[in-house]
Amino acid sequence: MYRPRLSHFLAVSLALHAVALVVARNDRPPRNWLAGPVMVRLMPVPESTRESRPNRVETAAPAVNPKQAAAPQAAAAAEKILPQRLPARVPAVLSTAAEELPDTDARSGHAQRQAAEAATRSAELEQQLLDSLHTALMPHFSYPLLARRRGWEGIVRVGMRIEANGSLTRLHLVEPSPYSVLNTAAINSLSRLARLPNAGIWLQGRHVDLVIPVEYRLLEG
Amino acid sequence: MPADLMPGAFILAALVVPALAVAAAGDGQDNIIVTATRIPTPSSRIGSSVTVITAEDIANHQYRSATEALQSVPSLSIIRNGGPGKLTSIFSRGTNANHTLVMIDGIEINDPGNTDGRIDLSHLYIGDVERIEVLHGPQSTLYGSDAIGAVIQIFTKKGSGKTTLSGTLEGGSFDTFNEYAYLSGATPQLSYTFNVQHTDTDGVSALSSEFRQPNGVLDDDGSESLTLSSRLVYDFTDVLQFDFSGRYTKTNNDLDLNVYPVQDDSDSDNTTEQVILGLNTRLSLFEGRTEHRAGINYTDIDRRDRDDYDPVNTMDFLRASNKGKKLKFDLQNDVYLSEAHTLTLGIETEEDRIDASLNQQSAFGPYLSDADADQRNNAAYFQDQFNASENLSGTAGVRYDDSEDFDGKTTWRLALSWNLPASDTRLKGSWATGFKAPTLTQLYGVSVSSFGPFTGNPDLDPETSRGWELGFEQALKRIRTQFGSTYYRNDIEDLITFDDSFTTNINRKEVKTYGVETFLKTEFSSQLNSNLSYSYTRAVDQQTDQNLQRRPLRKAVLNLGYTPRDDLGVYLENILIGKRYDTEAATGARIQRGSYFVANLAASWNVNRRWELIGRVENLLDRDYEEPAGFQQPGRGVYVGVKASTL
Repeated sequence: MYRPRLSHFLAVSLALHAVALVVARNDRPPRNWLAGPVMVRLMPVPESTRESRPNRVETAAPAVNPKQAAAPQAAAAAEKILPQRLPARVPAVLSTAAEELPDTDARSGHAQRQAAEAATRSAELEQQLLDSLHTALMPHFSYPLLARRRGWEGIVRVGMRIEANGSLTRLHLVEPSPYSVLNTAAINSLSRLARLPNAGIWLQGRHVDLVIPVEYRLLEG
Repeated sequence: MPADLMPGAFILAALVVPALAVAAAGDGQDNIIVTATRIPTPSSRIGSSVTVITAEDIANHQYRSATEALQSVPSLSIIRNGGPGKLTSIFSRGTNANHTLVMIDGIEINDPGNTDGRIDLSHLYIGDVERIEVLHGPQSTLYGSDAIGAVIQIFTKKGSGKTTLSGTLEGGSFDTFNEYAYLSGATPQLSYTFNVQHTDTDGVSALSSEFRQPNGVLDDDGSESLTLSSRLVYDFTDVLQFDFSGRYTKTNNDLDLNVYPVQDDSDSDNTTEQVILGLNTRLSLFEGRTEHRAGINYTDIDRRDRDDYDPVNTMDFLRASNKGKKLKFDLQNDVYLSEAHTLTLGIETEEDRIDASLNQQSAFGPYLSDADADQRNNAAYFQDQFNASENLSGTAGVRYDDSEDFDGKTTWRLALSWNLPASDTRLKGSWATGFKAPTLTQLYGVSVSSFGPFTGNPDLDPETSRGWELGFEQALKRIRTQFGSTYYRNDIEDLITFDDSFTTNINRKEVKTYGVETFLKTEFSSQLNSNLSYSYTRAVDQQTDQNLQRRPLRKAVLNLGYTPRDDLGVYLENILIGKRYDTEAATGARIQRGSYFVANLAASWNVNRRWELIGRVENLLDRDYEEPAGFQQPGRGVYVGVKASTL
C-alpha cells in the first residue's frame, strides 16, 4: 500500500508552487470591479486651452510636495487655485467634463468666452490628468491574500514622480502602514505602471511629484 | 455564517484622488481605496453545519467549563457521571463517545490512554477561550481519526493592547470557589496571555442516594482543578509567525465505586494531569499566494485512580494508572491558485504511546490488566476549496492514512454551499467519510479477571462511517431573524465490540444514525434576543434494531439574553432533554429514562469599567435528575462573584 512520505509531499508542494507562480504571472487584473468612479474618456484637447495648462500642473506640484516642486515660482499661486480643485463630488464633475469637452471644443473659437472657460477647463484637465493616472493604476491594484486572511488594513502613502514623458519614477514609501505586505503591494501595484499614457500632452516638458495615499480596507464578507 | 464565503471579486472602490490636493486632503474618501472581503472562513466550515460559542457567550452565560458551554449545542449529548469535574463524555449526532475529536488551538486532546480513545471533557476550564466551534458530521479528510460525529475546535484568546491584569473571584453553593486570573497584552510583534484557573467544590455525591453505604453514609464527591495556560504569538515578520499554545491541568476528583456492588465510596479518587503543548510556524510567500505551516503538537495525559480497602467496602481495591501520549508533526501548504481555487496539501505523522495498568478487586474477584504499546500513523491529504461562481463554493478533499497496525484508510469529503442573495438563503450539503482507528488498548491490551483472560486484537480494522447532510439557512433581515434546518445521516460500520466469548475485540457492530438539527435565532430588540434549537437524534444498532443508550431522542434549548442597559445583562438558558435509554446502575438492565428540564440563569452588572459583579443560579428550578442513570446532578446552586481588570 501507499505510504505517505515527506519526499512526496515536498515534490507535490514544489509542483503546486510552480503552478501557482505561473498562474500569478499570467494573472489578469481581478475581475468584477464594483462600481468605481466614472471612467473618463480622454478627449482631444483644444488648442486654445493648452497654454494655461502647464501653469496649472506646475502650480499643482508644490501643493503636494513643495520641496520637489517642478516650478517653484508657482507655489503662491497654488494656494489660490487649490480650493477650486476640490470638487465635492468628483465623479459628477468628471462626467460633466466628459460631456462638455466636445462642446468647448466647438466653441473654442469664441474669444470672449475663452477667459471664463479657461479656469474651469484647466481645472478639469488637471483632474483628467489625475483620472488618467488612476484609470491607468486601477487595474494594477489588488488586496494581498495574506492580508485578507489576517485582517490587515492600513494606509500606505506612496510618493512618485511623473516625468515629462509620462513615465513613473522615484517610487518610494512616504509613510508606510504597519504591514510590510501592504507596503510592498502598494509599491508593486504602482510599479507595474511604467508609463502614464497621454501625460506628456499636459506636462509640456515638466514633471510632477505626487504623494498618493493608498488605503487598504476590508469588508466583512 | 457570512452570506458570502469567498466572493470572486476584489473590489476597488472610490478611486477618486485629487492627488494635487493630497497633502491637504489627508485620509478619507480622497484616497485610493483598495477593498476586498475578508477571508475568515476556514475551508472546513464550508458546507458544514457549524455551531459557534463565542467568548461573549461564555462570559454572558458564565460558563466555567467546556461541559457547560457545550450543553446548549444541538445534537450533542453531554453525559457527566455526577457533578462538576466528573468524567464527561460527548455523543455527537448519535455517534459513540470516541467519535468526536477535540482540539485546543489545533492540538488534538483525545486521550490515547483511554480504553476506547474517548475524550473526557471534565478537565477543560474555559476562562481563556476565545471561541468554540463545533463542526458537525464526519470530517476525517482534514482531521483524521476520531472525526466521525463532530470536530470540536477550541481557540484560546490572543493578547492585545496594553498589558492588562484581570481576575474573577466567585463562590457559592456546595462550597464552591472559582478563581481565575490572567495577564495579557501585546507589543507590535508579540502577543501574550498567561492564565491561572482554579476551581474547588465539595459537590454532591456522584452516585444517587439509592446507593448509600450500608451505614447510611452518602458523602459528597468534590473536585479541585488547577489550569495554567499561555498563548504566545510572535510575528517575526509580517510573513513569518510563531504561535505557541501551552496548557497544564491538574485535577483531583472524589469518585464513587463503580463496580459491583455499586455503592457510595468515601475513599475512591482520581488524579489527572494533562500537558498540552503546540508550536505552529506559519510562513507566507509570494505576497500570500502560498502559506506554509509546520506544527509540533504534544499531548500527555496521566490518569491515576486509587481506592483502598476500607471497613465499609471491604471488597474494593483499585490501583489504576493510564498514561497516554501523543506526538504529532505536520506540514501543510495552502496554495492560492486564483480566486477560484485554493489548494491545501498536508502531511502528518503521529505517534501514540500508552502505558496503562489496572489492579482492581471486587466481589467478582481480581481484575488485572496491562497495556504498554505505541503506534505510528502517517497521513497525507489534499483539498481544493473552490468558488464555482460568486455564490457557489465548496471543498473537495481526499486523505490517506497509513498505520503500522491496520490497512490504509482513504477518506474523502465533498461539501457545497450555495448562496441565494436575493432571498438571503444559503443551501448547504456535504458527503463525507470518516474513520476511527482502533486504540492501543483495543489492539494490545491484556487483562485477567475471574471471567477469564481478555486480550486485545491486533487485527482490528478502523471503524468507518459514510454520511451526508443537506440543510438550509434563511435570514429574515427585516425582523432580524435567522432560521435553518439540517438533515443528516451517517452509516457507521466495523464498530469495535466484544466477541461472543468476551475474550477479545472484533469489528462487528453496525449503527445507522440520522436526525434533524433546527435553529431559530431572533433579535427582538437591541435589548432582547433569543436562540432556540431543536434536535432529533436516532442512533440504531443494526443488529438489535435498538436505539443506542444515552442519546436523547429529542433535545431542545432556548437561550434568552436581556440587556436592559449597557451595563446590565441577564441570560437564561433552558435545556429540555427528552427520553433516552440507559443502563440501570444496580442491575445492568436496559431502561428508558424520562425527560428532564434544566434552567440556568446568569446576570452581570458592570459597576464601572474596572469592576463587574456577577451572579448565577444553576438548576434554577431545583430539578432532581440523574444523568446518566444512577448518577445524580446537583440541585439548585447559587454563585456570586466579582470581576476586576486593571484596564
